[in-house]
Formats: sequence, C-alpha cells, structure tokens
Amino acid sequence: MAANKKEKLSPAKRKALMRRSIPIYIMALPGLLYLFINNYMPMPGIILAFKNYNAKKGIYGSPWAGTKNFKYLFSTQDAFVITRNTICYNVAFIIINLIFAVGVAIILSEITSKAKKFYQSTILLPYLLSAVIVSYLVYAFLSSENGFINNSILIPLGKEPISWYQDKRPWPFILVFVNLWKGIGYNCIIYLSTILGFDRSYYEAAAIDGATKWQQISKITLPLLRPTIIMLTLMAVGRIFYSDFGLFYQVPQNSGALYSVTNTIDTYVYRGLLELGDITMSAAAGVYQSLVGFVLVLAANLTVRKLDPDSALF
Amino acid sequence: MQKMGQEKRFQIFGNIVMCIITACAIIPLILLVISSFTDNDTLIRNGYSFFPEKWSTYAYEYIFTSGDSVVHAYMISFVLTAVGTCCGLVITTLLAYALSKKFLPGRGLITFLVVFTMLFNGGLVPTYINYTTVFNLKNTFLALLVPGLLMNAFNVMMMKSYFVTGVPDEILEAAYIDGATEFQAFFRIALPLSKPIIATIGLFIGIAYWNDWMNGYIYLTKRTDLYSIQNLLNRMIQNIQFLQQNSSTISNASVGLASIPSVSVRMAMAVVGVLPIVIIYPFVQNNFVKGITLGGVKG
Amino acid sequence: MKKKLALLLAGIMTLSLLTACGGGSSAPAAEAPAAEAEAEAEAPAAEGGEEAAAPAASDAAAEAAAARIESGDFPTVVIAYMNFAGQPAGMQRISEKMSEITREKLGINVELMIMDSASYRQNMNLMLASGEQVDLFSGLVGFMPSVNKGYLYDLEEDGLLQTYGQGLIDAFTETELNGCRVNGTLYGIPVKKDDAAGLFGISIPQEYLDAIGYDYASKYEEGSDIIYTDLDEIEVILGQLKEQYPDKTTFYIDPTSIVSQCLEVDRIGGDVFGVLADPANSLEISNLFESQPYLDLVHRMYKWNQMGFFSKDAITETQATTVQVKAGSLCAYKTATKPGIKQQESNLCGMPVIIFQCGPDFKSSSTYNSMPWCMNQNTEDPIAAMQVLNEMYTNPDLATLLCWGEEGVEWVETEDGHITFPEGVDAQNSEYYNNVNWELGNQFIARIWEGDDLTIWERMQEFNDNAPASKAMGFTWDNSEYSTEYTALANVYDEYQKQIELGFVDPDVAIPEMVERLNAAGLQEYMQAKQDAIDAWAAATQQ
Repeated sequence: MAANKKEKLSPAKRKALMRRSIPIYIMALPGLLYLFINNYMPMPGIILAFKNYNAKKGIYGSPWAGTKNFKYLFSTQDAFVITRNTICYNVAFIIINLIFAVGVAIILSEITSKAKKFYQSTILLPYLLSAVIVSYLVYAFLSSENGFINNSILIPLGKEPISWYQDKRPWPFILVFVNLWKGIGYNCIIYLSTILGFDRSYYEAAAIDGATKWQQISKITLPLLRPTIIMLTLMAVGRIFYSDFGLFYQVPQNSGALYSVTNTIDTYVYRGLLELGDITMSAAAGVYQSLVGFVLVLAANLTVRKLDPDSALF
Repeated sequence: MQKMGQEKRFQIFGNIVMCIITACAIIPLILLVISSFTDNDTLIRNGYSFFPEKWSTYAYEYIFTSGDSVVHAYMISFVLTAVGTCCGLVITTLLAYALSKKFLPGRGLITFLVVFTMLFNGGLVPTYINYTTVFNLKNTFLALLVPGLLMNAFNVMMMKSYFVTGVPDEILEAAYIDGATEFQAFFRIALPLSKPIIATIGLFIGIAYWNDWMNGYIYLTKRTDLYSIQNLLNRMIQNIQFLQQNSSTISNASVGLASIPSVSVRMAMAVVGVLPIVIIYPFVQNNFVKGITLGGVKG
Repeated sequence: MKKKLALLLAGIMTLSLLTACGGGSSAPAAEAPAAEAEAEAEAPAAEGGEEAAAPAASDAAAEAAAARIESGDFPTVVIAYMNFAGQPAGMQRISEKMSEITREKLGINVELMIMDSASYRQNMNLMLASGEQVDLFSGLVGFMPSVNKGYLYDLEEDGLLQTYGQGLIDAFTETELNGCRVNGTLYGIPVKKDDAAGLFGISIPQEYLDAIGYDYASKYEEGSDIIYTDLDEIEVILGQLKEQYPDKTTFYIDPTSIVSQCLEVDRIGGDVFGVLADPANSLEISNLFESQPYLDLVHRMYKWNQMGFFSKDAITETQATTVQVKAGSLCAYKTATKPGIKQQESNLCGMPVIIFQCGPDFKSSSTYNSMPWCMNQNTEDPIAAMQVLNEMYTNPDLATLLCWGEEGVEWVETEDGHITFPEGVDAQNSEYYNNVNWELGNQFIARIWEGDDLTIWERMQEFNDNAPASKAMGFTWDNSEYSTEYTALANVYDEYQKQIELGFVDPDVAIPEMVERLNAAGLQEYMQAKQDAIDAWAAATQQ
C-alpha cells in the first residue's frame, strides 16, 4: 500500500528506495525461508482432505473423494451443538481474557509494591501445566467423594453435595474460569510489555496537569494499547473454530453427561476418529476450521482497515 | 494532597486485586506440590488433600532413580530451550523489523504470507513427510528444534506491532540521514528500544520450547536419549490414557496400567517440569524493568 | 556343559512345539542347510525329531536363505511393536541377539523398533504414510483402518505365505487365518493369545471373603481355579462386603469393557452398533441396546448403584482396578477370565484373590484381527520379511528373545524349568521387560516365567479351542463407507455409555432416549449395512 504510492517516484528516488530496501529484505530472509520450509512446503498436503487416501498411491496419486470427507462435520444432529459450543466459548474467551489481561497488565504496570514480581511470576505458572495435570487439579476440587468444594464448602454449610461431573449447568462457567486461570499470566505479558514501552513523558505531563489515575488509564494507556488489542483480537478471531482440546476433553474428564456443553469441533472429531484413524477426515476438519477462520479474519481485517488503517493486520 | 490519597487508594486496590488473582493461581499449585509428596495409596484412597494422612518422597525417588534419566532429560530441555530461544528470537526479530518498514515494496504481500501461515497449515502427515523425507530430521536433535517452534506468525506480528508503535520512525530516519546503514539503525537504535518486547517474545518462544512434547513424540522413535523432560512426563501420562481407552481391545490392559507409576509420580513430574521456569522467570523480568528506563530516556 | 545345554534346549524345543501346535499337527519350516548342520551338531535330538516332519514345500525358502547367506548381503527387516514404557534400554542388544539367529539361519538381520502405547498408533501411521522402513509390525495400529489406507501387504501375493510361511499356516487353523482376511485377501497373521474370554469374571481378594465368612474353598469345580456362579450370588457377597467395609468402594467395573467382557454378544467389527445377540446360532444383527442381556445388565448395574456398591466418582475414575485394590480402596471388580487369571490378578493386587465367573466362555469374531502381525505394503524384501515372521512364530529361541530378552541378562532358568529375573534384576531395572508378550506373535513357544503354570499354554489352547465361538468367525466388517454415521454414533454412545452402564441413570428413562438419538444418528442404516455385509459373506463362504 505504502509501496504503491512510491511506485510513481522518479527513477533516482526509486533507486534510493531499492538501496534501502535490500538490507531489509536480507533481514526478512531467514524468517521467510523458515516459513517456506515449515509451512509452505507441506501446504499442498491440504488436498489430503479431498482425497481417498491410499498409501500405495501416495497423497497426490490417491483418487479424489470430492467433499465426502467433510460430510461428517455437517450432516449429523451434533453439527449444530459442536459449532455453537466452539463459537460461543471462543467469543467468551476472547472478551473475558481481553478484559482481564488488560486489567491485570495495567495494574501490574502501575503498582509499586515489592510483591509485583511475585504476582507476575505466580500468575504465569498455571500456563505451564499440561492439560492433564490441570484436569487432576480441577478434579481435586470437584470430585464427588473427596472434592474440596463438596467436602469443605457445601457440606459444612449444610448444603447438598453436587455431582459436578454429571451436572452440566455449571460447566460453561467452570470452563471459562479454568481457561482464564490458565491463560491470564501469559495473556497479560504482551500487554504489560507494550505498556512498559510507552513513553513515560505522556504520563508525567498528564500528572502535572492533574489527571487522575483513572483518567491516565482511560485517556493514555488504553488508546495507546488499542493497536495491540485489535491485533490480538484479530488473530484470535482466526482461530474461532478451533478449541483447546485439553480444556474441553481432559478437564471435564470426558464425562458424557456434560457433552452438550463441552463437545466442540475438536473433541467431536477426536471421539469419532479415535477408532477410525482416518487421516483424510481429520484433515477435512482442519481445512474446515482454517477456512472459516480465514474468511472471518479477512472480513474483520477489512473492517479494521476502514476504521483504523494502522491497526490492520495487512 | 488529594492526588497522593488517590494514588494510595489505587495502590491498595491494585494490590488487593493482584493478591486475589495470585491466590487463585497459587493454591492449586500448592496442592500439586503437596500431592507429589503424598503417599500414593493415600492419594488413591482419600483423593487429593492439603493435609495428607501420610507423606512420602517416593515419587521423587522414583523419578530420579528410574531408567530414564531425568537429569539427562533436563539437560536436553535446557539446551533445546536456550538454542531454540536464541535462534527463534533472531529470525523473529529480523522479520518483524522488516515488516514494520512502511516504505518496503511488497510489504503487504509479505505480511499476508506470514499471517496466512497462522490460518492454514498442511496438517500433520504432510509436515511429517516433509521433515523426514526431504530434510531427514527424524531421530536428530534438530527434530526437536526446527518443526513448528522456531518462529510463528503470532510472535512476528506482535513484534512488528511493537516496532511500529514503540520505535518511532523519526528517530530511525534521523539516524539514516546521519549516515547510518539500515543494519546500524536496527542494532543501535531499534533493538535497545525494544527490550521489553524482545524479553516477552523470548519468553514466549522459551516457554513453547520448554513445554513442547509433540516434536519428540513424533520425530524421536529411536533416539529416546534425546527426550526432553516434557517428553518423559507426557509419555507417562499418555500411556495411562491409552490403556484406559483401550482396555476393551487389549484384554491385558490392566497389566500395563499396573506397571505404570501412578498419581503421585505424575504430580511430581509436573512439579519437576515447572520448577526451572519458576527459577528463571524472575531474571527475564529484569529485562522488562530495563525496558522502562530506556523508554524514559528516548522521549 | 555345552552338551547339557544342548540337551536341555532340545527338551524345551520339543515341549514348546507341543504347546504351540496344540495337537502337534504342525512343524516348523525347514531350516537353511547351512544353519541345519550346525544346529544338528548342537541338538541332535530335537533336529532329528523335526527333520522328519519338515514339509518339502519350503525348499524355496531354504534356497532363498542359502542364496542370501552365500552372497553375504544380508537385508535388514525392521520389526515394530508397542509396549507400555517405550524403547527399553536393551533393545539394540536384543536386536543383535535375534539377528545372530536369523543371520545364521536365514541370512537376514532384524532390527527392533519399540514404541510406547500412546505414540504407537500415531507414529506408525506417520511412518507407513511417509514410506520409512518398517517391514513387520503389530496390528495394534488398527487393522481395518490400515487395510483401508492401503498400508498392508497382501500376504498371499505370489504365494508368499505358502512358499515362505509354512510355519504360520501350520500354527493356525483355517478359521483363525480367515479372521485376518478382508474380502478374501489375507492382510495379517493372528497372535497366539487368549482368544476366548470368560465373561463377567469378578475378582475379590481372599482376605475380604474370609472377613465375611464366605466359604469359597468348597465352591471350586474339580480342576478349576475359577468359581462359576451367577450375579445373584455375587450381589449377596457384595452386600456383605459393603456392610463389612463401609469405607471402601464395594465394586467397580471398568466402563470401557463392560459390553465386551460381560455380555455374550458378538460386537461385529468391534463396535457396539449392531451385534449378534445370539452369536452361537444366528447371523442376525440386532440392536444391542434393545437386547435382553444388555437391558438385564444395565438394570442390574442400576440396582447395584442404588445399593451403594459404586463410588460416586465411578464415572470419572482414572485408576486401574487392581491399583485401587492394592491401595485398599476397592473390594471387588470385574475382569475377563482365562487360564492363569487368578495368578495374574493376585500379582497385580498384591494379595491373593478369588475369581468368580458369572458368564460363559466366549470367542468373538473380532478376536483374530484385533492385533495381527502385518507387513508393510512398502517393504523392500517381502520374502525376507515373511521368513522372519515365520521364524518369529516357530523358533522358540527367537520367540523367547523377543518376549523375555537375553538369557543370563534379563532372565535365568530356575530349577523347575521356569525362567525368572537374575540376581539383582527386577521389573524396574531390567533392560528388556516389556509385559506385552500377548502381542509378540507366538508367546506359546517362548519360555514360561516363574509364577505361571508350566502347562499354561496347553491350558490356554484348550480354553481357546473349547470356548463357544461366534458364528461370524472369519467375517471382517469394513465401516469405511459409513464413517459419517460411525462418528455420529460414537459420539452419542460416548455421551450415555458410562452413565447408563455404571447405573447412574435409570435405564428405563435413559435407554429410550439414547436409542432415539442413535437412530437419528443413523443406527438403523449402519446396522442394515452390517447385516448386508454379513449376509453376503455368509453366502460366499457357505458355497
């Protein structure tokens, strides 16, 4: 875009531009080379989703299957539930994680207490645990016989213990909470480092003008954070049809009673293909998820480019 | 005076909020540590508890004395994380900086190509075939290092956005006019101003390497001596899961299940896996602080 | 010393051959002349016995081996299988030891490739798809999916099996081999294992039965270590156990294997969507969830759950039953019985257990193709691979190496002819202790570990032969055309299965609901397809 305008420059200026650009291209080269090797070389493998794979003929020689491999994603009664769950959870995650991550990042950047480092390290820790370990910890709180919530809270209060893994009502909240708990430390880092990069003179000037803390946050920090927020959200939108398998499969302990609120596209595919082991069907699921994400990102990016060209992804 | 009070109120409020969040994060982790020190039979009988009936260090003894050397796996993890983070940071930073140059012809297209990799991928089988047959990475250390982790579009875009907002063009242009080359401008001006984001992305890459088990799982079938700590942990957990799911086809699954160390060992492995990051992270944080002071100077 | 060893070896070989062949109807393949001369010098008794029975059909095999040995150009055959802990430390050494045998006899090197259970399926799929060298592998990869993806070599192509695998043909009956045929093509060789299962076995530690004063000693039928009884009696016992040990969970049944190990129904193709409800007599596919045995079972479980036998966390239980018993939190659990089960479960529980059995013995149609040995379609030298496979199933030394490792390192012989750990070696530090002998081709000819009866494999063979078999034995169900229905059905069943089968919901309410959703997901179409396939198969085989 910027380049297009410069296209009409005089030859001398164009030459100067090229001279400046060459070192930049060299800088970009290792990264682009890696993307080529890691992402673009296997990319043609996407056609696997449209093939009737047979090892004797190889991926490219196998007969075409049309859209047969995609059928199972749409033609069943579960299609609606899994799509709804995937989208709703992702929207909830995007919004809630954003609010908390920005909030925590702002607080962390502003407080002066010595415990600051401790806070920051500690809240990152849950992110480092694998989903299975998280599921054990959740189980420690929710199990019917030995769980803390039943034994240490509900029973002493004289309330009926709850069979958590058979009651689907609380699970949307539990999953959102676990997701937030696990990701908050990680998610806030990026905002925190961005805030720390801001020019402190803005704040000093504002303080001299008598701006309150809240005014500083809402008038300086948030507007400056806007491009980062938009970018992160755009990227999250691209993954809206994906779900964290561990969160939706391990954490609810794969309990059948909870499926209507925990079954997402990824868990559905996993359960269905566990025995079938069909690589073309799983490839189809991947293509479906990518395609929807791609369309949504393009649309969202277009909107952003109209409103705020600097924040757009491309 | 009123401003001081307001500042104080904010500090109190901020600390309270952070205390609550920190408590939420740390309580389950304390439970994790306690259960790793609980007697295994007690865990099975009574479930997880903050005040176990019987303590035991068996889990750690098992981990540090069993066939697969945990110490060796630690070394692999450390080397992998260090090398991976350095290489990853270099290529990520360079590409991100290039993309932040508004004057660069073809910038839009390159950015699109980068973002596109975030949305589409060839899938596991083609990626595997690519790395094993074209690059012969199977059963080598490079198989842990290269596939998937070295650089990703997300980090590039984050960094690019920081370069755009955090490193003002005017300073770089000024340097350029003063006769600095693009490389000099990058190293002397852009990099020092970007310490917070470099520390952040470095942390992201480092965590990704430290936590990864997928590459070892897929690409190391013979060289189990190259297993990282997460490979060991995940192998154990996944084996247990496999047996539970397949006990109908494998009638002898119970034999297998009984031979795999159970609850307390899994917990201890998780502790062992997280510990180094707990130790290293505070040092990384120092870079954020440095970033602040530099940021102050530049204005 | 050497002579003594040779004699012993001869004795073992004869013994294990007897066990392997069940009736002695078979003999191992002829051996390469070069190897023969040497072997003869070492163990004249055994060789003499075998020579006479050696069929002439394997001249070609001997020639191929001789040619390789002469040329000195030994191909390598890669053998892949899974265990529970991943690659053992002694793998290279065992590969080399095995190669010593196969080099001498066949002019082939073998290389083991052992993966842990969790990654086996995925790793094998990737390797098979990418064309890496794996020649022989355990079918735990998933037999039908592998067939559909074209991963497997037709074992009878150009008479491969007949020419180079006579020992395999001899080791199995026609029916057993037919279990690995898909549309007439043979894609695998079954393993020698417990093909039948004693349905609805219940295991209870002796100590607990003593505590409630139950007289188990008088209940044994002659010559059996299993007590045959019914669920009503078990219910009484469980009731007493519940009273005696109110703090322990009374009973647990592993939900993933309830149908397969408790009900005498044949799950065609290994899935529950359309089963033979009367497998011994009829080939009619019926709906499991409306069949009387299933309804009886789930009503019983509902009742037991109401009686408080189950833990409230039974649905989310992640511990193995025996581990729970060992930890002292569980009184009784379900298991599938077979010869030697009492010893096995006692070892696992760390205390003597009593085994009850409430159902008949039964052999389902999917038993032979559950984990057959297969050959990669991509293999470079199918003849060499077939000869190695043949050797795995017929050479006791090779089988023992594969199953138990090297003599003197992983095991030593005891006085009574068992084998056991050498001084200072145990299951933890042994360099080759896989615990997966049931997967390794022919464990029946390998040495027998201390603790198991020396006649275990004879009894197992008898058990396999005598158990009533499904009428659909030899039929293989290919559901690749119905994968959409299958994924939908699997998801619906997963949703209800544990709740219903562990008795957490009233079956009179939940089953109709599940059936309605299964029907909406295409259960009837799926069952009809099964029925059509099985009818076509029956028509073709009956001719």
